[in-house]
Amino acid sequence: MIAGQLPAVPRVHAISFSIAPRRGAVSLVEIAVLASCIIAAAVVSNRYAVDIMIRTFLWAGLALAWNIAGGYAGLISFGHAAFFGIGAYTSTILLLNFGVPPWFGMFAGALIAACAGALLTQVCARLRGPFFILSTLAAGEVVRIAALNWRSLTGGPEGLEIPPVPNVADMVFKSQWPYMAIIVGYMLAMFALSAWIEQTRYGYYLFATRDNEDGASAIGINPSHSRTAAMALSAATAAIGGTLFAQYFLYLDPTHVISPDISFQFALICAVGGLGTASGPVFGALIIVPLSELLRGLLSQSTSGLHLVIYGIIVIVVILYFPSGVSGAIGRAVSRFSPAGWFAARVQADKYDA
Amino acid sequence: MSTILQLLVSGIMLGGIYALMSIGLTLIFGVLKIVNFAHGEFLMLAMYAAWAVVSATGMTSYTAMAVVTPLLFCFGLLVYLLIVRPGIEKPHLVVVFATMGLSIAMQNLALVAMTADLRDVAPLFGGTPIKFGPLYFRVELLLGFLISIAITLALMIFVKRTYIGKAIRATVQDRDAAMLMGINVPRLFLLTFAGGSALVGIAGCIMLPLYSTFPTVGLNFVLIAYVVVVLGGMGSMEGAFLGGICIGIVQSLSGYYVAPAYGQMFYFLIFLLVMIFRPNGLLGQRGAAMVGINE
Amino acid sequence: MARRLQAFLRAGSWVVFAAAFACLQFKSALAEDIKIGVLEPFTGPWAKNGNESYVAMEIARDMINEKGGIRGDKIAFIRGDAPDPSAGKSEAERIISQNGVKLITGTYASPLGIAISAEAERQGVVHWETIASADIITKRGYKHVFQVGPAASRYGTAALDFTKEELASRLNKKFEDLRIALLWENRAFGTAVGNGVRARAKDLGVNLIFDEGYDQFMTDMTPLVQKVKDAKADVLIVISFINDTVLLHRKAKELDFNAPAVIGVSAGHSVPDLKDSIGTAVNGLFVSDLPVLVNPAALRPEVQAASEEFNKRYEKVQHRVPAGHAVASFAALWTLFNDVLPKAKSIAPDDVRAAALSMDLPPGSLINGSGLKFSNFDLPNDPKDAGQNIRSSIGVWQWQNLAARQVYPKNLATNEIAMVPLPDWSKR
Repeated sequence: MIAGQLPAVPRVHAISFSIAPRRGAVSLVEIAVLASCIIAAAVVSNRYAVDIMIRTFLWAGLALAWNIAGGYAGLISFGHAAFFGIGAYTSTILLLNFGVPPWFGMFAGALIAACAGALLTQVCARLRGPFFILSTLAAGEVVRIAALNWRSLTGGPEGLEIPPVPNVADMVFKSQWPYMAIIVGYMLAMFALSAWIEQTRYGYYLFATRDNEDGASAIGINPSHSRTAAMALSAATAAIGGTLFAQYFLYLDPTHVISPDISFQFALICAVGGLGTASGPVFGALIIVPLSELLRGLLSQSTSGLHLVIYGIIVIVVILYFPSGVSGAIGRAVSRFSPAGWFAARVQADKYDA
Repeated sequence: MSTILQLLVSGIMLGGIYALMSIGLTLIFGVLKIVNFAHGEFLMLAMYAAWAVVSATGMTSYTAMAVVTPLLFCFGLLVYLLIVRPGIEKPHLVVVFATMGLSIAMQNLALVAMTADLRDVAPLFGGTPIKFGPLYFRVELLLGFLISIAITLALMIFVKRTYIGKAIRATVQDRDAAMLMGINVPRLFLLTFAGGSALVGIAGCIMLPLYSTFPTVGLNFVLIAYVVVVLGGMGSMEGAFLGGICIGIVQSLSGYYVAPAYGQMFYFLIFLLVMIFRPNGLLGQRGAAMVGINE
Repeated sequence: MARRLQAFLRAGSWVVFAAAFACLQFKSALAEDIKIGVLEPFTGPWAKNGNESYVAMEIARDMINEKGGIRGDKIAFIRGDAPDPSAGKSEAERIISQNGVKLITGTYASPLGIAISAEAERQGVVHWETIASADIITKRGYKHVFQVGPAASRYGTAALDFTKEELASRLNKKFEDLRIALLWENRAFGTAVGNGVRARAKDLGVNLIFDEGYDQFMTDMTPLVQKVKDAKADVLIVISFINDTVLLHRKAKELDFNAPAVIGVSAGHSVPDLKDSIGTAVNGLFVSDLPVLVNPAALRPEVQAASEEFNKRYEKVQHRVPAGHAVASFAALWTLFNDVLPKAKSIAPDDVRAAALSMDLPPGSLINGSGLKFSNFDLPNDPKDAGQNIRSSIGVWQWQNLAARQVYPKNLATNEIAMVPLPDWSKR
């Protein structure tokens, strides 16, 4: 279904710390740039820059979570905001009503979201393509409307606010840096998880199911199991991201947290960066998040809406001309210059042209 | 008794309008196998165009159709050539996001060009409703309903009788086989996309007297259109009509007897139930939902 | 070769990311000016109200700058687009850290007000809220957050008090016997105001015979209108936004639903567009709202002049009269520039705060008839320095001859109440 834009079999060897990385791996160069970005931001201590960075890394982590279902298992979900919202709301309700620290509350949210994800996959087991997309969109809307109207639990449309009293146990800090540490940790953990999935037997089950379901069944893979597991894992990790969002942002309302726009954003980041690879969502977030923030910052002084017109056009162009994502484009550029890469690309192309 | 009758009649009439609004989408969905996420903005454009024609020339919104429909046809042509065709052979997420980008751009272009003020036209006959026993309905609603029946019937005949119609049905069923039978599929795609957009133009003219026009108006209707299309079965005109009427009735009855606060929740739930138990929709092609499209 | 190139390209993507931040370091320099951050929803579903409020704010800025500014310093605005709370927080971060702004204002909608005021407080910047009405904005004990407009609960209070004092006798019924129906849109504003109406009804000992929330993006109003029609209400209180208000009244006409009195609460019923959309059907509707045009006798002379000037300029830009939210946005900034900032020793947050807390302006000091005094344990469960303006005016005006005419309370009223009970649709 989405196989055309994916590498045949990701050749990933965990996280390797070398100057020249293999696909999907983290290189020393990247770690150095990441570190220098953070140090630079620390030196200038510009809250806005740090804020954008934190958002970028949070979205990178969330997009990696989406990518487990959407990229690896081919389950393109436009209802992930529901899982994100379940994570954010569960930990926040536990914190506000029972004083449970979000450090534990996030796992409760992850558990609920995993169950919801598994249920959704079972319910939509027979659906493919746009039918699956639209069903997840509808399911997300059902959760949003329920949250909006279940006022005793969720605080309804006025939302829930976490008191901004710095306290390590409550995961509330005055400075942005603890958030940066936690969120970079989340992103790296998601990256490691993705890289791990790509090289395990389970990952190969997923790719096989995604690319050829009948073939996968024939060699003894249970497609339903591997799909359900992928969606549950994706939902659980997105829920943890939701908790981090709630703790960083300190305010939640159903209209803006469980919104289809959030689900679209997850998928868009993956599509721009490259679907079904571990580095794609990170690249996507590095482009999409600062781009939308900077466009808004630079262009909203005069004409209302102009920045979104330009943003929309950029999205169209990037999607149409880099259909396998930015990481795919980089991969192709590499292939063009190396005989081995060229050969690999030919083999791959022949395979999908056939 | 008169209450439930009123709710049913209003629901059915509005359902007819939902069907008209979705029929272009179902055509595109069925033939090209893509979901146009800018469908709501096409409708917004059609309503603005109709409003502009009505306020510039003083004709009614129904006669404005003569201008708006060709306009939307050309717009559909342009969008197909610039955005859909480059993405159509690529994974379907490409078209999804290209049209989503288009939707963001169009919505905000409308905001820049037209501001967020509401645009309306004066109602026919001073807005006096037709009274039929204990039932009331607006002239525009009745007219819209009749036009939508006429268009659905005309399209059904068109699809059954003409060569292009047969080509459309063949392509809905099996694109590769259709191509092997000598159907010029790329040309058919172009015609279908532009034709589907033209149908949105008609819907815009029908809806202008019923709803106010503003940049985000499409968002209020786009989810209904998706539900109608999938409920009816992709590519099926009579299915879309049936789906529209189902949604109209569900909306009307659930809003009265349960709670209007839950608004869209009911038709989303019905949508999910249909997807679980009858994934091809009411009148859709067997197996479509299971295979997925654009493999 | 390939590996080196790949590493190079990947590093390149990071460098672009880093370069973007380097750009951020070039701060815009308007050294002499007093910079004020204005955060409004300029895009998205609230765009209309956000843009109109901003036009009103610009007029307040231009008027003070033409008078020579504040102690010779001109006011400059830095806009931030806040279509949703998350974007609002990010834009607040940008305006505060990029531009070194010490005072932010705006927001229009409650979720925005809640999120942005929290961000301002965290950074020790003054947040001067114009109209976002959620009661919680000032209930959190924030030191630098001031809400000039009324809290949400007061909109509902005004509607019921007006019903009791003015409508009951005109409808020839005892207040307790009136059949009052309440319709509210189920997002933040409608819910908060609905709670206020419900609480006030309890205090006044009257039952709401009908109390129903609905989705403001509803595309079919038939069930809702039919339901209210079947409830046979004397007074219908509606909390709605503009698009659903238009649909509601059209549907009421279609289904021949006649309520003897309709009170809309702010937002939807107060926008001048309503008369463009439903024409003369607006006449006779009451609107419980921030006042639009109050009796000049209730205003201080210099405020009267400002009011005239504002209305003139607003109509010139927008080609229509201002709505309550635009007037309130102007009023909030006008008093900031004319009363608060001149009193503050500097633009530093603590000085502005001290000046704001020292304000004790009587009603009639702002163009919509408000006064300015921030609550300090004045309201129930108030924290210290709550920052809610307890003299913000709220009243009821009526659509008469396609224009907004203040009818309640008496001291702000310009016109008499008319068209009670409301004639049936066949006679309108």
